[in-house]
Amino acid sequence: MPDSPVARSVEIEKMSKWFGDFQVLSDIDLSVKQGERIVVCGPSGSGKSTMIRCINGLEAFQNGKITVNGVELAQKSRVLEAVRKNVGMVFQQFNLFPHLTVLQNCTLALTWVHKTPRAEAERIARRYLEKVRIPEQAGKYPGQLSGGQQQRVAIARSLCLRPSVMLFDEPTSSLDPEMVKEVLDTMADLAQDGMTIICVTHEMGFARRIADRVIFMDQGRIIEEAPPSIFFENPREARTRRFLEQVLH
Amino acid sequence: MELMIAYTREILGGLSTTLSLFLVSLVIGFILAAAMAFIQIRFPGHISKSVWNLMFCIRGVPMLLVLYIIYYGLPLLPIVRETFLWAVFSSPFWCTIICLAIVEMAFTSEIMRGAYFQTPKEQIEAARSLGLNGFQTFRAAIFPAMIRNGFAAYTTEVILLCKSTALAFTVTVMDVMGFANEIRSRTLDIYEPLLIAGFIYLCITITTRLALSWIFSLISVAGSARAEAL
Amino acid sequence: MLNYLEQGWGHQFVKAFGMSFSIAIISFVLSIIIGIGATLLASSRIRFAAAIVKFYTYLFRSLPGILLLLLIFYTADSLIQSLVKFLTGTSDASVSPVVPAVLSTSIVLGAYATELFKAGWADISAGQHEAGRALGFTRFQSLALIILPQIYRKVLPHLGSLWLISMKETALLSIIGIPDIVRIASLGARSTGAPFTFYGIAIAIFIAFAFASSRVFSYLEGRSRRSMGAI
Repeated sequence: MPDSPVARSVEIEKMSKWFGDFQVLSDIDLSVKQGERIVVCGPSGSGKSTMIRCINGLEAFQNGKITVNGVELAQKSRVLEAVRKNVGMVFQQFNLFPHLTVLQNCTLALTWVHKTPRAEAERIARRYLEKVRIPEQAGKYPGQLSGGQQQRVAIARSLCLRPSVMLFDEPTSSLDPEMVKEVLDTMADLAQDGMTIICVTHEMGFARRIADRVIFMDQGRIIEEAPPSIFFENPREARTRRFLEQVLH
Repeated sequence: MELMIAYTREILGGLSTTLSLFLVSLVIGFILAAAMAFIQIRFPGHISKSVWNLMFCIRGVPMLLVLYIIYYGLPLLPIVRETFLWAVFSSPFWCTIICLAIVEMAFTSEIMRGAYFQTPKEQIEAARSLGLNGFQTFRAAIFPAMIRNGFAAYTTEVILLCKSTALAFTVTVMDVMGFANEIRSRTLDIYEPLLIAGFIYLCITITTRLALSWIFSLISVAGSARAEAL
Repeated sequence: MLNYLEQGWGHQFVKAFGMSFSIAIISFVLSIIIGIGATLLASSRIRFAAAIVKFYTYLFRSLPGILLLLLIFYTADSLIQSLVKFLTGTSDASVSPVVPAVLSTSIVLGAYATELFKAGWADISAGQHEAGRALGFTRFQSLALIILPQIYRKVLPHLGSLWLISMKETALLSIIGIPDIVRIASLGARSTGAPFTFYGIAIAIFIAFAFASSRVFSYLEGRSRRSMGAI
């Protein structure tokens, strides 16, 4: 993978996006170094999910530019497929393939996209299932697992492709409260290993614990970005303070 | 009792015709339906709209009329009567097959189209974000979702097709219903031949339902055979 | 084509359409009544009722329509004839074959209607039944005021296709000799030697009818969605 001199992993410059006449993102600037851990928060409808979905091209944008590992994003299938090989994504609803077993979910892209031999792909998949601590579920179907387990499989499925960046789109929002912790712990493990992470979440405790920088968005703009110590103790903007008051209780 | 056995034997003479009507038109209809659904999905706009309208029209017409216009109408066209097509359209058997396949196409293409557009967006995004290309996304996410969404409706449609084959006797095809009807008009016994034929159709539709649910179990969620195919 | 219509066939087609349409609409209404009745029966506490309803729908969805029509038509016909004979005491009383014809299509379509209403009934959550009882409605009130309106909204799109099936089902009656659209088209085709024209006219009538019906039903659907609020 091309290492740019400053080891920038994701670079968003002056990015704007409209749904019809409605501007959902305005002049987003964000630069993420390799190994950095970013938490994005903000009220619903602030455009935070849309922003990270732009990073792997699930959403097209109209203005500005996004560079991922030195490759400039464009809505061309060759570029998108190349970028997506380096970017893992975990969704709110897990989005596992229900007709495939846990192991097959993990090996699918390895064998089809990366042309890894089957035995090798299964070895890799089992290694990552072990990493998310559910190796014993490999033969089951997603429908047989709890939400927390499914989300950990989804994380393992992305990790199998050994991405350089992981995107998390509200990974714990549709989980029962007792399962949130197991998923957050898995993500914290990843952070420990030096994975570049961009995570949209409302889990402020998690942000405090692992983030290098917290980003607050509202109405399609980045309002504030700061290390968690400053962000939580001494936010600069009134809007940030209001938001924090609401989510911290 | 002896009469019943004699009738049964006579009516069973039409079984192979009924089964061939059913299975041949099922296969042709499925292929045509897949083509029509593909056109409607791949070419949105005018092409898609006009194909949909054509399918809607066919669905609105009684099968009997489709059968009559193919069997009685088409042979009047010189292009049918004076070319190789005559070999096909002079046979009531093949006219029925064409009619059944056309009607099957109209209904099944709509099931396929509906199932395609019911695929959850999230499944497609998951496949895309793993780097799968268009065809791989179809195979991994869309096709399985289509099976999940459309199989029940397709089963109903297959049963309808099977039952529709019974109209073949109106253009002189001697299938199960054809023999039953022949006995009815020859002997004026109404109930015996019709009940025997009904029992035979019941056996066919029950077998068909079992076969389809077996196929579904092979290719859907719980099936490990599907896993090997990947 | 126009001169055929002028030779009296136009008039014939209008009459035939009236015949098909009225048989379709009566059968449609009767089949809905059968459907609602069978659904209530299946969910009642009467023993074996659910099994009998299930047997009825399974059997009728598994047998060819034409076969069922012939069976029911001849049974109903002879029953009605003997009933009339019994009531009037004369042996030459005859009843129009339209009556057994309508009965047979209604019973066949009733099986489909029953499936629809049973599915709609199953979709109504137990909470709705309980809420009705908790508010002090009688069983009948809760059925009429709470359950049926919700089922109506759920089955309306399917009733649209049931209506189209009813209209198409009348075509089978031509085989028994009822002078419907298909029958007239066949007669015309045979006597003039112009099958394309006559079957073409019949097909055009059905297509126009299908488009008109789908308009009506999408209007009804829109109205029911507005009145209930989009969910």
